[in-house]
Amino acid sequence: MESVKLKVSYAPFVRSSDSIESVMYNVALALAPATVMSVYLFGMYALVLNVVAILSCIGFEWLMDKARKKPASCLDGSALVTGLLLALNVPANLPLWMIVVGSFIAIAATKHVFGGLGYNIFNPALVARVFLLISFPAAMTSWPVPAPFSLGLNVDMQTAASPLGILKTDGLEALGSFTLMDGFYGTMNGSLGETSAIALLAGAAWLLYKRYITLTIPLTLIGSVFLFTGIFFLIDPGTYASPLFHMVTGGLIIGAFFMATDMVTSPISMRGQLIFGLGCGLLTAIIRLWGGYPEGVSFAILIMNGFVPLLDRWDQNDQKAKYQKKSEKA
Amino acid sequence: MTEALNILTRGFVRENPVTKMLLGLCPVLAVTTSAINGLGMGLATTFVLLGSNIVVSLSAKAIPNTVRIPSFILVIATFVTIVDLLIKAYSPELNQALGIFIPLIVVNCMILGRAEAFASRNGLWYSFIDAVGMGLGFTFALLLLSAFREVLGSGTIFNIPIVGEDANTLLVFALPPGAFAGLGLIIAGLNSLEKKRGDK
Amino acid sequence: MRPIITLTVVGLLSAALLAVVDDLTREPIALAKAEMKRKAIEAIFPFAFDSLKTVKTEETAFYEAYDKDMNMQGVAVESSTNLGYSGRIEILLGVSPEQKIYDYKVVYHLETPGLGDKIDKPKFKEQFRNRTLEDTDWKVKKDGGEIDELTAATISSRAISDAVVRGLEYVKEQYPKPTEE
Repeated sequence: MESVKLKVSYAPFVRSSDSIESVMYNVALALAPATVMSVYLFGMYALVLNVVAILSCIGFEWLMDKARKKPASCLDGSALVTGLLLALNVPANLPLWMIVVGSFIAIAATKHVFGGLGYNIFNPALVARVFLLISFPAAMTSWPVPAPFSLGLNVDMQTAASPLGILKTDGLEALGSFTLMDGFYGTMNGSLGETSAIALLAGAAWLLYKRYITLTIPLTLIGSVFLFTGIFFLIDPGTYASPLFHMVTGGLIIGAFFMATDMVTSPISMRGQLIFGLGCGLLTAIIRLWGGYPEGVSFAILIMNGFVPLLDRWDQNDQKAKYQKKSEKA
Repeated sequence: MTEALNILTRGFVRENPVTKMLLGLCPVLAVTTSAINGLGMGLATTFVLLGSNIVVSLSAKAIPNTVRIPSFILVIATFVTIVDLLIKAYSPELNQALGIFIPLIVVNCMILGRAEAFASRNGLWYSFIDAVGMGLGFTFALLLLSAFREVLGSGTIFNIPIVGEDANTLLVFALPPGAFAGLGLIIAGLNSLEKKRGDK
Repeated sequence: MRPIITLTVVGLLSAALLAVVDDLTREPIALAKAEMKRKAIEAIFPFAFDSLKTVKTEETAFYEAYDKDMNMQGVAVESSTNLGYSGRIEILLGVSPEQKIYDYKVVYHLETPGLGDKIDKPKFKEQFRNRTLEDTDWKVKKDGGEIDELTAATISSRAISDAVVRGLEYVKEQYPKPTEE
């Protein structure tokens, strides 16, 4: 028999009618509740921050396409989603030039350097967030206190540490009046869009309904954080916060549903996704409990992003082996 | 003479140890937080390279193959220790900044690489030229990367402030991830420059 | 046989060379070390001193600074704390003969760049000037004391306060009667 060299890839092989545009605009729609909530909680400046992030992301996308002599992709919605995600991941009083720097890192240094949409190894918005966090730690960790319906453009809002930050520096007792409901509705200090679990979950439900994401990664990620922090809570409830606290604080929800599920930077197969979600969850919990930073979701997802090509390759090899066995039998 | 010139310039761009051969990256990434550190590390390495290339080219024929590598390493280690002592005596500030990375020049594979691949097979004059070219190429790359990181990460150049004390600098470039990103950007920049020149 | 002889010769030669260089640099290295220490101490005193006297105790080391007529102008003391965000912080604290603080210098730390490492910036250090062990509530403002903490680096600020207090206590122990002026 003539040997045929075929590239074996893992399912899905099904072509769908979904274009990049329709996927991206649906993701943007799913982020809308969180964005609206952030403007309600943090005032008009949050809206300005969102608009600047989106416009600068689209602008850099246009510039990079020009520079790389590629067809313009700036309106395919992916830059819009990156901008939205980036804005939702920063404090509501971040200076505007910093978010522009972040947009540049996301679009130029994370996406286009690797070849544009579909070729980036790491989630652009997350790389930008981590870049900003490491570069401007003071600006990125003093969170404004939510003041619903403040319509002013006042940047000098009262600032404080996030619940996770307080837990890290001052221990469990210092959290005081914080309740789980604060975390659920979002009336706590934190990034624009990290705060309101309910708004994020509403968006995630839309994506699930449209089948743009599956539950595998979010559930394993959140589940492993719950389990891991739960074990330590049971061992010593005086030092470690309850797993429910870890559920509603920080970027866990937005990370699990909107960042870790990014089609480009997550594994294809079920097995890969399980390992990916588990790795993200464990790393998140480890960083939160013992790491130098109070919050670890973004670091965890980025680290696991690095493993995705390896996980995909593993599946590919397994498929190849199966195919060879079959052809031997035949 | 053209051969000598060829050897001299080779180390600078075409076969630059850092940007082309990616050798000795540990000190390149670790100490390039300020231009002075980069320059100091580059010059210290150049000195060791000069010494080892000269000695190796002179003695290569007398050394049996079986103990070639150990002998070369002994020679290199000797020069490294000399540099270490000299820096400690005459530039304690640099010693404090570079710390363990001076003794670690011993394991810089660029130096053993030049001894093995060039000095042991060539005469004194060419080996000397090779060491100068490679050493300066190494220094040049370190200086470029460290100046880049110092300006962006700390807002100073050669420890002279160019922005106010409270200015927000891109701190990430003063930290390890910035070393990798900066090196990548510099290599990309040099490659694209070369490509453009080749196209003409 | 030849390999053994070669290696021995190479080893002997390099040992001889190193012995010579070591001999030549031994004195300059000792001088440079002393000079570095002196510079560090000069940086925390607002005056120029003439000579230094080192007093080592079990816990720490004191450096007494004298003017030309051998009047003590100030004391520098080594102090440390393990309460930093990333563990140990070591400082050199300069106090006047009346045991008022001149300034301090962070000698060793692993605090977060951009946040905790501001403990060595003049802007933060200024507030310690002229304070004494007794006249100050050494807690940070967040804990009800008098020390302004750094934004987003409360732990580092607490740690420095701790190291300074410890230094002042060392001085008090060593020089029980502060000279009154």
